[in-house]
Amino acid sequence: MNKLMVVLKKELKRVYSDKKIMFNLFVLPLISLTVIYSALGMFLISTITDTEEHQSTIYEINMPAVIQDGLEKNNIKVISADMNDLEKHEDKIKNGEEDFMVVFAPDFIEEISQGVVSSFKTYYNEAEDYSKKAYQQFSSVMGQYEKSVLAERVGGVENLTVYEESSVQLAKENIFIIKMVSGLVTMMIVMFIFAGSMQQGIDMIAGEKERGSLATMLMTPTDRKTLAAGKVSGLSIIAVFSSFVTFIGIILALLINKSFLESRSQAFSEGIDQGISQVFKSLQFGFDKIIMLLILMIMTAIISASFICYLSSRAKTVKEAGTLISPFYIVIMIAAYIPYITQETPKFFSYFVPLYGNVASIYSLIEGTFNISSFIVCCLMTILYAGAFVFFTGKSFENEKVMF
Amino acid sequence: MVKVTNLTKTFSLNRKQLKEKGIKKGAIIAVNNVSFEAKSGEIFALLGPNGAGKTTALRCIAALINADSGNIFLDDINVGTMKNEARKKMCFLTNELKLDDHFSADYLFDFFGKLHGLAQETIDENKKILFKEFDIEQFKHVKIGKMSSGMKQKTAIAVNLVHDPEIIIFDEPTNGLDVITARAVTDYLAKLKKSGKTVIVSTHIMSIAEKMSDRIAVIIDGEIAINGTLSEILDSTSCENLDDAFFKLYKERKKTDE
Ligand SMILES: Nc1ncnc2c1ncn2[C@@H]1O[C@H](COP(=O)(O)OP(=O)(O)O)[C@@H](O)[C@H]1O
Ligand SMILES: [Mg+2]
Repeated sequence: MNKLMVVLKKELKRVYSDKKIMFNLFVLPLISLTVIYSALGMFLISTITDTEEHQSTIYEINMPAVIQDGLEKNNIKVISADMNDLEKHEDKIKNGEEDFMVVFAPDFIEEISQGVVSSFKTYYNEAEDYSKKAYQQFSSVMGQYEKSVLAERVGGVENLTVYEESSVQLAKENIFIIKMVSGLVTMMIVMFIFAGSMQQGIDMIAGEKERGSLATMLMTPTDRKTLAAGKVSGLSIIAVFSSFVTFIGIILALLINKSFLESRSQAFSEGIDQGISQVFKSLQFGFDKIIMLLILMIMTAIISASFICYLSSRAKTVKEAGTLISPFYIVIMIAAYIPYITQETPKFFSYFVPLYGNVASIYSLIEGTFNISSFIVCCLMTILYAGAFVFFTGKSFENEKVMF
Repeated sequence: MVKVTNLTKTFSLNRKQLKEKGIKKGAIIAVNNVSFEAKSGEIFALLGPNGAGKTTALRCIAALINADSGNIFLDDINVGTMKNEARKKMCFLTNELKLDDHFSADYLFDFFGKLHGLAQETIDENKKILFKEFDIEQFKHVKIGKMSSGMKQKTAIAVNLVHDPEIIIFDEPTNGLDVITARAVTDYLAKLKKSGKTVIVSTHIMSIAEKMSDRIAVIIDGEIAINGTLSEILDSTSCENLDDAFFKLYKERKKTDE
C-alpha cells in the first residue's frame, strides 16, 4: 500500500511538473469544449431556424387577387411570371434556387363562381426544405379559400365545421436530431476523457518500458501488482481530473448558452415542434442529471485509464501501444453514435459491456432515456473491470516475454 | 556469494529470428548448463563474444527472467523462489536500465529508496556517500533528460545502489561510457570488492576481464568453456595471455561443433 502511494505520487508529479502536459490535459479541453459546445448550439439553431425564418417566394401565373392577398398576409412574396419562362422556373425549382410556382386556369374565379370545377397546377420540390415549406403555406391559404367558397355555396361557415383538429407532431426527423445531438455531445465527452489518459498511459507504461526506466523499477523488491495498481491509480486520477475539466467545460458552455437554450426550447414547445424543443431541453441539464453525468464521467475515466494501462503493458514500444490503443479510441467515438445509427436507445445489456456500457450510459443520460438501475450496473461493472485490468497489467509486468 | 548450478535458459525464437533463419519454429539455448561461484570480496567476470549468453545468464541471476532449470543462490536465498528477498540483496546494472528523463537525480534516489522499503534516514545517508562518489551533488536537481550521457550513467548507477546491496551485477560495465566515467566505474567496483561485496561483471573485452577480475569464466555459445583465475586459465591452455587463451578455446569449441 505504501509503495503503491510512492508509485502513484511519482506518476502525478510527472504530470503536474510538466507545463506542456498540464496544458494539453487541462486547459485545452476546457477551451475547446466551451467553444465546440457553444458552436454546436449556434449551428443547431441556425439550421433549424433557417427554414423557419426563410421568406417563401411564389411565382404565379393567372393568380386571382383574393389568393394573392391571402398569401401576402402570410408574409409570402408573390411574383408574377411569364408563361414563356415556365421551363426556366421549373429548372430553378428543381435545383433549389426557387421555392414554388403555381399556374392557375385563366378564368379560375369565373369558373368557380359558376360552379364549374376549375384547376391550378403547382410546381415544387419535395427534397428542398424551402420549397416544401412554400408548398405547405400555399396549400393552407388555398384550403381557407376553398372553405370560404363552400361556405358561400351552402350559406354559413358554422355548417361547414364538422370537427376540430388538434395534432401532436411526432416527425421522425426530430428524433433523428435528438439522437444526433446526444451522440455528438457524448462523443465529445468520452473523446476528451479517453484521449487524455491515452497519451499519458502510453507514456507511463510503454514509454517507460521503451526507455528502460520500467526495468529499473522491476529490479526493486516491489510486488508487480502493486506497481500496476500504482500506475493505474495515478492515471485514473489524472483522467478523473481531466474529465472534471471536461465537465467544467460543458457547464461553462451551458451557462454561456443558458438563456439562449431556454428561450429556444420554450419557443419550440409553444410552436408545433415538440421534437426540436426536446433537443434544446436535453442540452440543458438539471442538477440531478449533472451529478449523474459527473459520476459517469469519472467511471469512464477509471475504465479508460485501466484499460489503456493494460494494453500499454502488452506493448513493447510506444508505437506498438499506439497501434493497439488507437482502434479503441475510434471504437468509442463510433459507440457514441450507435443509437443514432440504429435509431434505438441502448439496451440494458449494453451497460455490462466494458467501455461501451460507459459510453451508452452517458448517451442515454443526455438523451433522457436513462434509469437508475442501468446507472448502478454501469458503475459496478466499471469497478469490476477496472480491477481486472489492474490484475492483468500486473500479470504483464511479471511476464518476461512481454517485458524483455 | 553467488552460486549458480546447471543454469539453463531457452528462448523460443521470435518472428524476426525465425525469418532470418528461414524456419517456421525453433528455440535457442541461450544459456546451457552453466555453473559457477562468485565469492564475496571478489570480482567475477563472465567473458564471451556477443551472443554468448552473458546478458541472459545475468538476467536470470537478477530475477528479471526465470531459468528453465538449475539453481541460483545468493548466500542462502534461492532466486527462483524468493525473488523479492533476492532483489533486496543485489543490484543489476546495465546501460539498458535507465532512469525517467523527467525527474532529477535527487528525486529518483528517494523514489527508488522507497521502493526498496528504506527509511528516509538510510536513504539520505546512502545518498550522501554515493552522490559524492560519483560527483552528482552539484547536479542533483537537474532533470535526467538534461544531463550529458556520462552524468546519466553515473546517476543510474548511484540510484541502483540506493539499498547498498551485497551483490553487484554489472552487464558490460564500460559499454557506452566515456573513458573518464568508465574509469570512475571500474575504480568504484574495485572499491566495492575491497569492502567485501560480491561483484559479477560480464564483458567481451579481454583487458577488462584481465585487469579487473579475480576469477574469469569464459562463456561461448551458452556454455562455460573454462573457469578459474587468470593464471589457472593461462596454465591449462598453455598460453601467454588471455587473448590467446580465449581464441584457442573459441577455435576448439567451433571445431567440436562441426
Ligand atoms: N528475449 C529473447 N528472445 C529470443 N532470443 C533471445 C532473447 N534474449 C536473448 N536471446 C538470444 O540468446 C542468445 C544470447 O543472448 P545474450 O544473452 O544477449 O548474449 P550476450 O549478452 O552474451 O551478447 C542470443 O543468440 C540472443 O539472440
Ligand atoms: Mg549482452
